[in-house]
Amino acid sequence: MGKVLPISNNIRRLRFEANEMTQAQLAEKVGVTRQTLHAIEAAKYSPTLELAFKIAAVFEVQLDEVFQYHKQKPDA
Amino acid sequence: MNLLDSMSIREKDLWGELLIDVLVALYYFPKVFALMAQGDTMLRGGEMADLVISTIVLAIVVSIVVFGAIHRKGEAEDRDERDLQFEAQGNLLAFRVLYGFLVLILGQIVMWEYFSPSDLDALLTEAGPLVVGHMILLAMILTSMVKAAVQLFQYRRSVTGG
Repeated sequence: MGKVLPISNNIRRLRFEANEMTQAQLAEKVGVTRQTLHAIEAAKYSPTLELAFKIAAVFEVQLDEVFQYHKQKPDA
Repeated sequence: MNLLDSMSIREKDLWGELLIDVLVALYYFPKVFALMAQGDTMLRGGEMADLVISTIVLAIVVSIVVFGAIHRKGEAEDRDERDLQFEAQGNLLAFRVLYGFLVLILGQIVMWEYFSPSDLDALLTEAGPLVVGHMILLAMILTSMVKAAVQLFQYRRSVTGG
């Protein structure tokens, strides 16, 4: 299946709550392509810290309300 | 999100670059190797010139068609952080591949200098630089393919997660 990123997010919910903002609209606000935002939302790509803060700023929430880090269990 | 929608303009451009590299390589190098097999004069003759010109024309025509189709809506797209990250990964591996090819070519030159088979003497004496030039050109095209392929793999993996 591939590597599972340890960071999940609530971007889809936050977009819906923000007057049903589209991925394209959010992508334009934070300066990335729609495809990059889709990959972030699907937890297939981890954004840089700067981009993560930009996304949080769009929704006017704290960073940890957008992204959540899940500590991975060490391999046995 | 269907396949084309899942691709940014940058990713589509990379598919176009890879396609052109493959077409040019498949068209050019088999013919060059055939000319080499005929002896050194073929590398300097009109056939070689015709091949170079036809390859350039092929590359230009295919580029116009492919990139015209990709950019038909006039879309422009700056590279974002994901594009830059994937490009850096592609550049890193491409550099290592190119370095490896150059080491191989240098080794081959040394081998030819001291251990060349007699049936290659005429070719290497008269057209050695051209032969080496083609080896370098092949290395450059293969490196370009590797760079594009690495980036495309990263793009697809960031979509499918596989």
